Amino acid sequence: MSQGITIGQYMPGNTIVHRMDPRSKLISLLVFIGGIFTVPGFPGLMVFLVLVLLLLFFSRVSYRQVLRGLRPIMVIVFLTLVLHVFFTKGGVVLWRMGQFTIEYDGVHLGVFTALRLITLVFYTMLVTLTTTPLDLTGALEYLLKPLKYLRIPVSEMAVIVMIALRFIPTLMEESSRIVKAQMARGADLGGGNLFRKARALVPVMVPLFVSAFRRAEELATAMEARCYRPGIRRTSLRQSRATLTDYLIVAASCLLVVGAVFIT
Amino acid sequence: MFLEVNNLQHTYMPGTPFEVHSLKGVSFSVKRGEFIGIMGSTGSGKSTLLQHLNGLLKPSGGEVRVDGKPLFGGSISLKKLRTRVGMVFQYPEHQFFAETVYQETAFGPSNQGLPHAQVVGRVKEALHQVSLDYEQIKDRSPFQLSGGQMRRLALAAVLSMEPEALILDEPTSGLDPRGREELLGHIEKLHREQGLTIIMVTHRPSELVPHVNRIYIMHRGKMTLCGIPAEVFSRSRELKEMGIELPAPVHLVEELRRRGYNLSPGKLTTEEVCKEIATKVTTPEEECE
Amino acid sequence: MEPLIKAEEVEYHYPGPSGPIEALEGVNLSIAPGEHVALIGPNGSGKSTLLKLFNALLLPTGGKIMVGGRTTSDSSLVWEIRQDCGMVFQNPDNQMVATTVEEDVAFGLENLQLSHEKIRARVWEVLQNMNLSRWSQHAPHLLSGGQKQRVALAGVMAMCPRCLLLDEATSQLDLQGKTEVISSLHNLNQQEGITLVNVTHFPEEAALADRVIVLYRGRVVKDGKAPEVLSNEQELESWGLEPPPAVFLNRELKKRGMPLPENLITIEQLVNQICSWK
Repeated sequence: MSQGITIGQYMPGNTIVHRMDPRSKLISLLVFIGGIFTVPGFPGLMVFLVLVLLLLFFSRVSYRQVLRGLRPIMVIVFLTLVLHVFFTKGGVVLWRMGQFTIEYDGVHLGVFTALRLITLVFYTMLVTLTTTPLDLTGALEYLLKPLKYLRIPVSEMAVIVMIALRFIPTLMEESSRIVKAQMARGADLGGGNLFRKARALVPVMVPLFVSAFRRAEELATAMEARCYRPGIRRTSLRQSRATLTDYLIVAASCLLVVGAVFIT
Repeated sequence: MFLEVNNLQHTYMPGTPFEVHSLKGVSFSVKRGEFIGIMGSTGSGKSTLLQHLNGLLKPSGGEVRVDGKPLFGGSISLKKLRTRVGMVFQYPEHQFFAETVYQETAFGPSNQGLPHAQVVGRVKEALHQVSLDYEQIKDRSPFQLSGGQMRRLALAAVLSMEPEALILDEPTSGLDPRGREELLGHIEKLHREQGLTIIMVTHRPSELVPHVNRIYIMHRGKMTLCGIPAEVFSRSRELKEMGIELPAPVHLVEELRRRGYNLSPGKLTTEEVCKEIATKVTTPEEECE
Repeated sequence: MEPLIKAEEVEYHYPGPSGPIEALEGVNLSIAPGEHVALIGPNGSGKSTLLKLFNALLLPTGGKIMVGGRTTSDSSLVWEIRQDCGMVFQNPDNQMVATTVEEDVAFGLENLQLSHEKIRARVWEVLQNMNLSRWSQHAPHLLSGGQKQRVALAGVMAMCPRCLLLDEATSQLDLQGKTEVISSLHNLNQQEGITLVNVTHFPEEAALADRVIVLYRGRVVKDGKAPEVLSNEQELESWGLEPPPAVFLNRELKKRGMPLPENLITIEQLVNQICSWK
């Protein structure tokens, strides 16, 4: 049963951000991440936050997806906030109960750090929601090309990532099938303590691994039959073209970051 | 009534843009000991339907009852049900995980909580039922067997739970003609000698014709035809439109009927069909007489 | 005419637990350009092995294989041979490498280091020819078995081979998928003269070929025109094979006195013969 899963959260669209060369998106992302971590105070951080919210809006990405993307890190954000509020001392005392205090610096740092994390995730999501996993891999491959001189197999790793992405939905379907097949033989894949849960996973993990190995072997043979060999220089169907817009955007990002960090 | 399906509906991913109505109101019933065949092209919903029969999927509408009790009414333990209604998936050897044939076959009865001595007995009996030699094979790795043996082992791994019914999803997929014949022989023997209720999905009509009580045809989530093989396969034009294969003798008769020969439908086997053709078609010599 | 594939005294063995296991012995055959050959035999007869020897995925342990005049044991020619002789495998999923149909079809061309423009043009052309254009941006898991196999076929055809080697390419497909794939192959053979070597264990499929080669226990035991080979019930049975169902029907009809020739192997041929009496 095929499911319409969009891998890596990519949502198709035709906005400027969607159309940007993925390499410039990645470079800009790195620049902004640098800026987010070096900006000293709230005003600078707010500049970044407002900018990314505007960009997310103009990229027409579904706000539901954005909120869903925030969910995994909310625990960390919350923990960070709580830890700073209760344990970072300094400045005016805001609340006291016996020996225990909450002080201004703690609240300030807690909120600042939490906002920083959230802004960071927003920027990352802006890129992953507007770029296909394949384009991202290609951009990474291009940017990591210099590593080839260190004998690191960058192109081969890119092919590996592409194959992994391609098989995620297939393997998910297969694991679902295996789980059902074992449940049909009376396996209990729900309850019990941690140890029992782990043991119960064996009838699912072993077949999945066996199948993965078999797939890998068959796939490798098929790739060889289509003249693939590691180490060759491969050309590409896709060709990222960096336009003037891309250069301008990267330049603007750098300027903005420098401005925000130093002026505020 | 052993198994009843009433207006069963199933929707995958309801409420999302990827919603798929896999079953649109399917109803049928199966008596104990019957041998039922189900045919349908890709997307007809047959695999989804099978997974409802032992509670692996929950209906979006309608219900499934076994021995009169609804599967999701709270009065049935699904885990127990699955030992009574055994299911063999397509390419069942892909679920092998154990180190030995014995362990693989013992998985089902162990999950039933049976004592060791009883499990051994079940394993021996199950392997015997699929013509695998217990002593020779019990310590071998399931992954080292031949294709046909693996398929039979997968069947034994379900039989060891001593189910009352067997649901089989395209059991002969990927087997060569000899392997296919062997496996079908075992299934047919289980039906004949043990009285197992059998529900088998296949796209090869020749696997159903001699043994089956009834055939159901599924198309786009609905059950469109049902009846004894002779009735079902006489509706050749509809079957063709639904992408269902005809048995070769029926195919021959239907082609000749299409070209204007007045042959009666409903003949299924090679003998019946050839007799019909020989009597109704005039050969050149006969014309000269 | 120069044969496209030529096998001379080919032998293939591989190491077993107690000495080498003979998979193929004394195989001599040649396949001419444009032929549609079915390669049949029971399990373990060596059909898949022989096919893999044709495109140098395996090298013979004895004898030699020539493809388009090139010998497969010359490692510098292996890539040309694999481009010339494309292979489609049994499992539709385990041949697709990329995240979209378009990318997958381009894979072989990227390996051949064609320019970006040539790859674009060729992929577009092949998808058009095989009626797959509307799925060009689809991910593999959204396709049916038959569609996946046709994409695999497109990916191979994009490399412009003269010959297609099919290793039980339809055995995991349902009726619809089988029909789609067989129809595509038929067109490629008839309209573009692509040589087909089809390993199959479905006799009805073998009946669609012009020539049938039977392998039994690693040896070629029969090599002839499809109607002759597939209508010989006894011989086929001695090798653990079945003739196509049309042969049984033919036999029964003849028993009842109908004057039908020996070598009808498809329902269509039977019907045409009977209708010719009108």
